[in-house]
Amino acid sequence: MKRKLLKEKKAAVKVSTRLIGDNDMKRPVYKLIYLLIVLFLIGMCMVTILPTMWIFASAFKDTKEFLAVPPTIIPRSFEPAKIVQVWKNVKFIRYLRNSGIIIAGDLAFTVLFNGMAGYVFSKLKPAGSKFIYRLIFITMLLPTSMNMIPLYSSFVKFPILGINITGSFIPLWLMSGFSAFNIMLFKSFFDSVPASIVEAARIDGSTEVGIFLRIIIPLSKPIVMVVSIFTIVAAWGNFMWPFLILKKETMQPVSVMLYNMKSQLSVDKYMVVMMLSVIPPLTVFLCFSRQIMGGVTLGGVKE
Amino acid sequence: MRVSTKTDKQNKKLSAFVRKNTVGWLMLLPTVLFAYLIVWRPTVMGFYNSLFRMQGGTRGAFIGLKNYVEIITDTNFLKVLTNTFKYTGYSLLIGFIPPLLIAILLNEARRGQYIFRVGMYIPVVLPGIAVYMLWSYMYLPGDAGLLNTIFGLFGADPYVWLQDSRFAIVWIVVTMTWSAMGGTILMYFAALQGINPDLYEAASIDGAMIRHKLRYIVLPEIYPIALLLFVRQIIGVFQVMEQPLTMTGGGPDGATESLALLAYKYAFEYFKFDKGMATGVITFIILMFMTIFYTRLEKKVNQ
Amino acid sequence: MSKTRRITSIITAAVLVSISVLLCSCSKGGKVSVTIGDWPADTDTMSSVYEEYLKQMNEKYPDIEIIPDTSSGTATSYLTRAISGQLPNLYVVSYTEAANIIKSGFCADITDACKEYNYAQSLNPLVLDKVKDGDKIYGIPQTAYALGLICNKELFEQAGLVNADGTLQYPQTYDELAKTAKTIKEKTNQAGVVFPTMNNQGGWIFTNVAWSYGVDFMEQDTDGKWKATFDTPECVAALQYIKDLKWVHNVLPDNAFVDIEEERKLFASNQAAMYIIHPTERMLVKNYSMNKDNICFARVPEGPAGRYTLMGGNYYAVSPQSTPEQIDALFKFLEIKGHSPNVTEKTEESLSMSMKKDNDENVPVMRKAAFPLWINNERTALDTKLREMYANVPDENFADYSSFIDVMVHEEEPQCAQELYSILDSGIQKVLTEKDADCASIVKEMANDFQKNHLDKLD
Repeated sequence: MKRKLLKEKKAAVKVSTRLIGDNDMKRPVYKLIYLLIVLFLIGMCMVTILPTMWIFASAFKDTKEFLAVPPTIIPRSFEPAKIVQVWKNVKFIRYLRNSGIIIAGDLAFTVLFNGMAGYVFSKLKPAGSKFIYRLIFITMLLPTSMNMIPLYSSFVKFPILGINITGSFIPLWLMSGFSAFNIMLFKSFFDSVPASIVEAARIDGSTEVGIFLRIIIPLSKPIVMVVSIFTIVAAWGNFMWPFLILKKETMQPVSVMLYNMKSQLSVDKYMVVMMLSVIPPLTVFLCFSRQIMGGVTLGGVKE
Repeated sequence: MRVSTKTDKQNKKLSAFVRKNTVGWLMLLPTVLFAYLIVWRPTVMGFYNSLFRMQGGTRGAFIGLKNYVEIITDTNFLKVLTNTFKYTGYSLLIGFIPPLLIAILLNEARRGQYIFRVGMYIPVVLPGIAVYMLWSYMYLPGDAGLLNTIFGLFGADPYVWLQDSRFAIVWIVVTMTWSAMGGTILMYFAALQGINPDLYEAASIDGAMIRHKLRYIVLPEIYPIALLLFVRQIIGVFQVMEQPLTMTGGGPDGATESLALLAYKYAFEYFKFDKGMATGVITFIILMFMTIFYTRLEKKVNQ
Repeated sequence: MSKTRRITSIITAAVLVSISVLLCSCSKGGKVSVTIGDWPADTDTMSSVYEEYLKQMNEKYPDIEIIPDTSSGTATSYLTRAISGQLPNLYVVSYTEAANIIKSGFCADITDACKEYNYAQSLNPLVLDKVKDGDKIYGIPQTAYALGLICNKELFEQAGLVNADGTLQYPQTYDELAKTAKTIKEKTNQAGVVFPTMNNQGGWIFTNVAWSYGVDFMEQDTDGKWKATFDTPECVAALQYIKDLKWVHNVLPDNAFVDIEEERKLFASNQAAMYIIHPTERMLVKNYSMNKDNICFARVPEGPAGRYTLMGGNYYAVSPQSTPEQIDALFKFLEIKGHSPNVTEKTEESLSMSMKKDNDENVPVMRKAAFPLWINNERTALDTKLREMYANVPDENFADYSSFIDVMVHEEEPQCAQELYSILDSGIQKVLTEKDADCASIVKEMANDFQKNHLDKLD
């Protein structure tokens, strides 16, 4: 009973940020408008969800039905054996593993380095860091189009060391070591951590790195979570760089396989590969949708 | 006695200063190195290398602006440039206002807001390649295409979609919008939710109409974020590459070729790294002008 | 706190691992090690045969280490690998790429080794020329073929295009091709013919049609400058022919974005009846499970100026970083594999192994080679003998192609061939997507583009 009351109260607060107020809703014209709005929103969701569902529907069709013209929208046949067969044929598990390795490295680099930078900008603020922060902000507006080719050649001949690090996962990891967007997300979150906690730890004799790893990171679970989920989804979908850097089939991630398989698999089997590649990010998203929603909000407002 | 305490204090202050700065800078060092390696160095190298004739990855003879001259005098350059602006223009038309509208309508929903948000965000987490391939299948011309089948139910004649050189860019932009809109909607939505409810209440008491609320409450509040998203969208779309690469290969007859795709083709299809970089620089310069324009605009708005 | 420590240690470990991977990649052993590209992936049935080669290699030359490289070898991927120094020591590319690869220094000069191991003397000079620059040899031909017209037997039969003796009624001229395609389209409702339009493949095939219509694409002036010479009525007619396939005869598939893979998919699933391609279409069977007996091959059709076809295929190139020892090791591997002019019992055994595998896997093995690769009698005789043993497709399916009657082999265009193909791709896309496109002005524009953007900018 109490909970219900609370809910109602919450709803009452929310109502006030709407254009159509509660009083307006009593009039039939607004009721009609509201109905149209809801229908429109349902329509929009169909537009985003149905094509995704179509991947699944098509993957389960048998070859004959798949090639039928016009295509069936609701599948008549159901052939799960094909999925097992494709899974084995393309050695999906191997690509899954490679994607996993890339994601793990990306996560480590993202959280460690971007987090640390966020901490410095938020709490330490050494002389001159404002300037660097500005520079980093500018990189967000810099077009990347020009970087691609020179960056690629610097992976081929790494500055100073002079070695070639293409053909390994390292370039991908290095690239996630710097993300202006993530640094800003971290900074703005750390800004909300009370300075007194940091001070207390300093008096206890902790080093700054220690404070960052043992106090700040555990305190900042929400933001670490959000950045991690974004990183996972982004790393899973990242195609161009793994495509350019990893030329050995045994090292390629799912995204590159997805591109290559287009010219090696028949269309119906390709749909299966597509479905397999869509399942992991969808699962992550549906499990962590609340955090993601919060994260987008965070990113949007603080930018 | 008195003097010594003063120096003591000074010493302490100095050591705190040193600690704060050295430790701070040490912790910032990786970020600075990464930023140097990943953004700043390649940007400068791109400029520099584009003035040379490149043999594969190594610099050859200095040729000044010859690469630029050759690119700009290419009979197709103007077309590619126009295409790139078309991408940007269409994406602003299709991808900028609708998410804002949807967010405003979403904000009106009294129930199921969360479900709508999740539904609309789904395409964002799908791997890019999967999205492009999915839409390529949906866009298939003739009776085999899914969209033609669906529109056929309403009696429409089969359409050629991506093969219509007049509108191919539009269809690619639709795909881009489909896959990215969820994020934008959520950002606007967050901004809308962040509006002070008192404003609405006051407006209601004053008897304001919906369009007045929209004009005097909603728009001013979301203006800053809209402006930022506007610029980010221009920058992002101006560098469109993966979509035409995977969906049309730049065709039909170069109708969907973009500057970034041109740079990619120069570098990775015709071995001409120098021209690839020069194309990148051209893109960069155009975008820099747009960014400067934006910062001017922002300052004006802030004042 | 222990949780944080765990996170810390995981992160540290990740960083350490990445550094050690970085360092490891620089170390080297004492043996000569060579990376061999184009190695069949472990999902490919052919991989067991290569395993056997590897075993024999290790037994015979214990101080040579072979590192298989299974990366798939599209042209683009080799270019990026070349630029990033990731090329395997031995890699396979098509002749079309040869000029670019040699010019860019992405392959080693292997003239000496070729002479030492008899390749220089025993390879068909027509083919060897494609990988030569002056007197220097930059590659070893792997396959050679003349383009032909592949035909889907099932669709031909459904359309009733069969002679009394059971052979298919192959179109003999380009006009007949259109007519045949139309019959098939009417009777089966499947595309009669497919024409590629993407990835430079459209231009690549179109040059064959154009030559048969009497087009010369370029010529060199007396002062050494190259001129585009294809703004002619002949070229307009050839392009008009492609256009009519779509808008007059309506025999092409609806999708106008077609590359070779798309052609294969359509063909293998009986959605298209013909396309111009080389006769080594293993992928039809391997990737798309087509029945090999359903594949028939004819000569390319004849145009007003003759029956021209391009000779193409793949060749082995050696990465520029390879040392003489490595090059020697590569030749030893080719010897083991049987891709060598020197006939021994071993050669026969090795070659049998791979042909038997193809035979077992129902990959078409023709009784007659598409194009003779070797000119020394001993090796030619061995080829004939093995083909006799392992041929698995009905001779009549390939008889027309193998007859080579009237077929004239045309050299690939000498300058900027890939760039020309790309421009032709665009023109083909234009006529296939715009009903009102004017072929004459398109050809004019293409010739102008090619001249201004490429020929005029030759160094």
